[in-house]
Amino acid sequence: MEAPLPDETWQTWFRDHGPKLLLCARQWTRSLADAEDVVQEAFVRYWRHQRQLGGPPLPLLLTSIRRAAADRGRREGRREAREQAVGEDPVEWFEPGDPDADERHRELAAALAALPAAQREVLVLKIWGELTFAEIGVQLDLSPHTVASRYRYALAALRERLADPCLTS
Amino acid sequence: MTDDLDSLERQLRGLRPRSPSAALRQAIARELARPAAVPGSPRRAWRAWPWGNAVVAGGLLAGAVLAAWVGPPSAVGRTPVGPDFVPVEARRYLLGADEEGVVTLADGTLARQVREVFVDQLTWQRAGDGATFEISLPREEVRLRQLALY
Repeated sequence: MEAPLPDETWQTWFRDHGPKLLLCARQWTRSLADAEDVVQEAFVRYWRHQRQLGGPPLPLLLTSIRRAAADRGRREGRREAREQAVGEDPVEWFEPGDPDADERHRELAAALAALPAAQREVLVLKIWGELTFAEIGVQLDLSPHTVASRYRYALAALRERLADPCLTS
Repeated sequence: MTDDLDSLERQLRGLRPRSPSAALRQAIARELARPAAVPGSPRRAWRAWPWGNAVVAGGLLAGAVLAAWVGPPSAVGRTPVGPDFVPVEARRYLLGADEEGVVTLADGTLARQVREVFVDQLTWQRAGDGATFEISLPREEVRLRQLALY
């Protein structure tokens, strides 16, 4: 994820990268409303105070989002926020696909949501968050080797769930 | 990875994360349109917080002194250390939040006004020898949160 250009407006940058931030935030919050709230907090802070620091923005933004989600969970007494079952339709996490591929997209989204939170988190950060295994390790306080292993296990688990629809329902 | 896992990975990359709502973009626009808090500026709310914790008070005083030495936010934003240093971490320590009630925005919508007191800690690191430079900036911000009426 590239840093904002000097004359780029926040609207343009957020249009391009906001969806990824929101998807990552949904891994650490219980609802869309909570996810949007922490993204708002992190993005405003980044654009106001951190954008001028330079460097890749995503690690800073994701750190802020995770911590804002944790703070929110503690303030509102929901200490197990990250471990709670996903309460919303996971298909809503993604834009509708082409009509021909829509059914497959639904299957993928449902299988993704059914993964254990720890595996899903790594998968989302790698594929849509565009972080390297090393960067994910810094985010989650894990070694890159552990992150890579968790990523492979997540894909293997997805493959099993897609092969057996009963595991996803 | 095996071919089928590679194929699955490609299929996942084909899913496009849903765009944030118009309400979120409007909320961000409102916040960015408001003037930002100045770090370390004396405010009524700072004196209202319990200062019994000497460690917190001492840390914040040190941060304010450091912020004053480094300069205003614009100077910090231009990286107060050499070009070999890159920003590696930005932490925010929330010290407290004070609900200030429900307010009506210019467009007629209702929002919760929350005053948050926190410390921003920014860390730069030099690649060659791992040396780090850290700045702590006390801040206070008033945030408007959408009011959920359900």
